[in-house]
Amino acid sequence: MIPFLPILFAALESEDLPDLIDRLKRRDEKALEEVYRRYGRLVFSVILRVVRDSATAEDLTQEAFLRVWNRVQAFDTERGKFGPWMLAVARNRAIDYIRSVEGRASHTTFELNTSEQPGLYVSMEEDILNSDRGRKLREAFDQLNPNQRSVIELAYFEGLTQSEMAAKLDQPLGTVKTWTRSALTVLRGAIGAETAI
Amino acid sequence: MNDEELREQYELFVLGAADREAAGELEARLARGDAETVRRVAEARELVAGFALMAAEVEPPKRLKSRIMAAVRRDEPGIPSWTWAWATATVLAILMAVNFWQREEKKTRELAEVREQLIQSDSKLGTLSPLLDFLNEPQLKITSFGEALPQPPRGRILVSPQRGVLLVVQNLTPAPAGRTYQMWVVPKTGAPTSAGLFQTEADGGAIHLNPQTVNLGATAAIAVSNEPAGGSTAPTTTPFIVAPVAE
Repeated sequence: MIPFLPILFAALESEDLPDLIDRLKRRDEKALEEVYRRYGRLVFSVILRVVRDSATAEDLTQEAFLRVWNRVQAFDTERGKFGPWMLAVARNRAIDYIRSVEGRASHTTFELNTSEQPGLYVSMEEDILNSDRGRKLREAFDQLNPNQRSVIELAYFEGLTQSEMAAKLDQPLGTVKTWTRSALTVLRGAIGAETAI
Repeated sequence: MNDEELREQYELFVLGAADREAAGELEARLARGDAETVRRVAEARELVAGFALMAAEVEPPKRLKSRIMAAVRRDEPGIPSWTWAWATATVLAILMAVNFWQREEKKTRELAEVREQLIQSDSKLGTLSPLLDFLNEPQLKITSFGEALPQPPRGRILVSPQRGVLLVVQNLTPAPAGRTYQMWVVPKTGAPTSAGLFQTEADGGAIHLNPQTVNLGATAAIAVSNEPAGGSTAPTTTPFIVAPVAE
């Protein structure tokens, strides 16, 4: 069985997503149940990967859905990409949690909170979780070598800066930057984004 | 920091994982509306949304959905959680007020009854005044005993930290010759201490005041036992009245 396929199938069921978001805005609890059906597994999986504790992941998943429920009024129903927003909210809850547990003071807390603003999710071409580009991106992850994959995972699942990655991996900062740059080139290429080089 | 140095920073910035210097530079560029930076950050946001697909699929526990829906209902703005808190607090306050009022009313009624008993027993006492002063104590603890018993004795025990213990008893058969009744202050730990001897009238009534101060916090109960005339240093029979003292 192809890994992640069920997740993709769940996320792909989005024909009536604008209607669903409108119902969420009207405080329709059935709509939230449907959102959970579509994204609950993905949200829980991401959070669990970050915090590595099932009970904590449950708490943070609940927190993420509550946050979306209470902030959906600001979401652009027609142009917004709901999945990426939902995932950003979920990941931020988890990263905030591990930073607090590990006592990691972060200058990026503001950035994390800012990244949850629903208005930031309107300029995307399409919901990457809801497209063929998601499949291509997953394939691209498999193309990364272990070092490249490691730095991407450390950034996404642990929220580490390159300096923190260098310390954790016991590698020179320049090496980590090289790995990061090459990994992002592969991933950007997979979804047809400019390489920014 | 130049464009070349920023090229691997867009995604990290979106992830909140950019180094401080890079984050500051990108924030400054976004703040002044730099079109290229705005475009690249938007692209980065789209790309990192797909990073979630790196996570191994894990089925959440079945209970999680119910938890979330229950939490949403508690959090529903139409009925804010603080409203429930206020409602709960109000109900509790009303219940506490009713309970307090009932207790005060019971206490007032009991004091009135005791006063009546004292007045009726005035002839049996040298003076009524000290007892009425006792009843005016603001910190009186009143305990009834024998109410559930089919047979006497019945009565009340009043405890004042400053004025001691007052026992009002009815229907207590007078102690036989060579015997007496002895009241005890039973501490939470340690041995009971004597609170004086008394004898009932022929009609079974008695009022006994022990004017020693009482440490309410350390007292578990007031007890009465049947002892040899002259009293005992410790109860020699099982007390037939044991009235707990609630602090």
